[in-house]
Amino acid sequence: MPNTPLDRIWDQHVIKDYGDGRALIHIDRHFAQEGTSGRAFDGLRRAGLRVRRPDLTVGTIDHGISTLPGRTLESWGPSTPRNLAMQRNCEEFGVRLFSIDHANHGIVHVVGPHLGFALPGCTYVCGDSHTASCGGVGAWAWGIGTSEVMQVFAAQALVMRKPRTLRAEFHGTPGRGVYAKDMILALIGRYGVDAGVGHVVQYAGPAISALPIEGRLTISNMSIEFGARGGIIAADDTTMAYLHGRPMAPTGVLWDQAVRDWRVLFDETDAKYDRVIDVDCSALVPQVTWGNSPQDVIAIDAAVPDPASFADTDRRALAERALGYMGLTPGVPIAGTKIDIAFIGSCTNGRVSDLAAAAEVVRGRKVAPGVKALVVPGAAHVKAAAEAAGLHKVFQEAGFEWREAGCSMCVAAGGDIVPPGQRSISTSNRNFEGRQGPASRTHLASPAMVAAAAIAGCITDVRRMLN
Amino acid sequence: MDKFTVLHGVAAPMLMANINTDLIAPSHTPGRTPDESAKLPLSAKMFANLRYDANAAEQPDFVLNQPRYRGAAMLLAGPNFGCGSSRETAVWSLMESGISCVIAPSFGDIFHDNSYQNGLLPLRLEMAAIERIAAALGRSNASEMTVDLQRGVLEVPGLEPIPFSIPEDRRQSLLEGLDQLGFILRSEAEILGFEARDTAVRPWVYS
Ligand code: SF4
Repeated sequence: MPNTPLDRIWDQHVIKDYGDGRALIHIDRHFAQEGTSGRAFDGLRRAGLRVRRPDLTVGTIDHGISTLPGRTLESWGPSTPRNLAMQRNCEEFGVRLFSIDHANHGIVHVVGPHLGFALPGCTYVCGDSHTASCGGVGAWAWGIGTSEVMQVFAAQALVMRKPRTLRAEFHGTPGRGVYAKDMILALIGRYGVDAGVGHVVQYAGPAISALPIEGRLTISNMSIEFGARGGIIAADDTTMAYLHGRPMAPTGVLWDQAVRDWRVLFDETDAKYDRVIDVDCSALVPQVTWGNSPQDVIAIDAAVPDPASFADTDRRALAERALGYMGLTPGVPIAGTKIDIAFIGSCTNGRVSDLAAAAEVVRGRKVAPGVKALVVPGAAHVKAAAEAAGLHKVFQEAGFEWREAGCSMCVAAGGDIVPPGQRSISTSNRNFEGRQGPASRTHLASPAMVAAAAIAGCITDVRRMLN
Repeated sequence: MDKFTVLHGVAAPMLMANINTDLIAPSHTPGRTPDESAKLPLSAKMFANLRYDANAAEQPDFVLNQPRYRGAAMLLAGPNFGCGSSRETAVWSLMESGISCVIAPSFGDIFHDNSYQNGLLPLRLEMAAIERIAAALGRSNASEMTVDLQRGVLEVPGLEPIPFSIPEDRRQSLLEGLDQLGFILRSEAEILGFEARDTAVRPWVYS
């Protein structure tokens, strides 16, 4: 018996086994967002169906919204119809909606774990590929398309094929200035963006156990950039302490019963994985991407690679294309590359600890002339907590814009766009061509690294700015 | 969902690896304001960053802009096609442009599932075979080939028939144009039964 947590979670959720590798799987939690649910609601209406379990469903409006102070659902024209439709749909179908004026508002993957809506051992879906984030608290969470959103609305179940399991072990203790973001970028850089295809990744090892929950969410968040639809981190004492008392987490005897079940689910004594890989974090250096795929990543003290250095012809061609698109020269150190925009936010790195790490670098310094720098908290609760700690002042005094929660520049949404040819350094998860706007040039890095670049005006080693 | 039985048409080569869904169906299109982009049909957004320059004019060297490949019905692609975001618009933009089969060595998991949900066939084939097909089509006059799902073969001018297989349930639902939701709802009683039992076992999930 393979006996991994995924195997046990799978067994707990099989409604019906079709005997051909497929099973009907129960969905415990569904978080809908406005960008991918419109057609699903329309489909329900046409078919005369309802949302069968509104008690297991919530919604948010996070992608297509302005993040400027005083915004409304109609502040950004191109998304206005979708935003208003989401509001109407949730009302009509009885789905609790955390809209922009709600205390629970925020980017779907930031809000889910914070509320305790995401729980260990739960099947958790959302029409968004970064749903895997919620694996950071031990949920089996994955992104689905709009057709499947409609199926979950109507049936609370999906036809699934069991994914293979891959255990990624992180050893060693990362040094100062090295964060969860660097760990996951290093994994993707080493094994490639398609290494996880068909798998659920179980992130493990001492360096993962040592991470607080917010760091774990950053790791799981980028499972999709590793090719995996889901990523799980075993629920442990850190997880229980984080979830206990959250508004949507179980309480009293139900909590005790849940914890007993979770302890069994995540007991890995006899677990056998289809594949095991590892990463050593002790020698890890802050990471930054140079190309148009998250696997195009190097250490901050390295030079832009020469495409000729890639043995694989395909990779070589992609590297050549990427260097042209990014306007970089092989052999030149990546540190020192001038930037136009610094973006701190997104479901990868828009949590309180991310903002705190960036603020530590920014405190008492100024954003370099000519650089547009913005902080977009991942959720309303993040914004409130950061303001309570005075972090907004640190950012504003340095010359950062301080925004309302939303996806913003991660996906060129809500009017926050990187103009053609401009270079941004960003705490988000995708450096694809056109992701932050047509002809935008994106470098991915940790919040502290982005903060350091905003101050220096160029990509730079944050470790020199930390005391 | 339309039935997928035998598809005959032009196959366009885009053999690059890791073509992501942002590239297939970007949220912004070059040379257009966000408002204009939002109003474009999905077919006009397909590969927009590759198809158009900063003035929204066509890039003549992009494969789907070449006269030979306009109106392609299939794509030949590299590994990990459709990686990235879950946006089903990636599948819809291909289908609305008349493309209902992508042949690649591997696919992003979500794109792969989204394809079947909509009747687009994501066909896995070894890279070497795909390169052979691309080379043969390059030599042919019309770049046309046939995907015969009924018989499970690809017919490419100048090559022996290439057999392929996909899971039988996937094949049947494409052949019959079956709708997945209808299939799931046939098990409604079992779903309700499961929830009743599970509420006793894992009450915290439902409270
Ligand atoms: S922050 Fe970016 S990656 Fe995360 S959900 Fe929003 S658009 Fe997607």
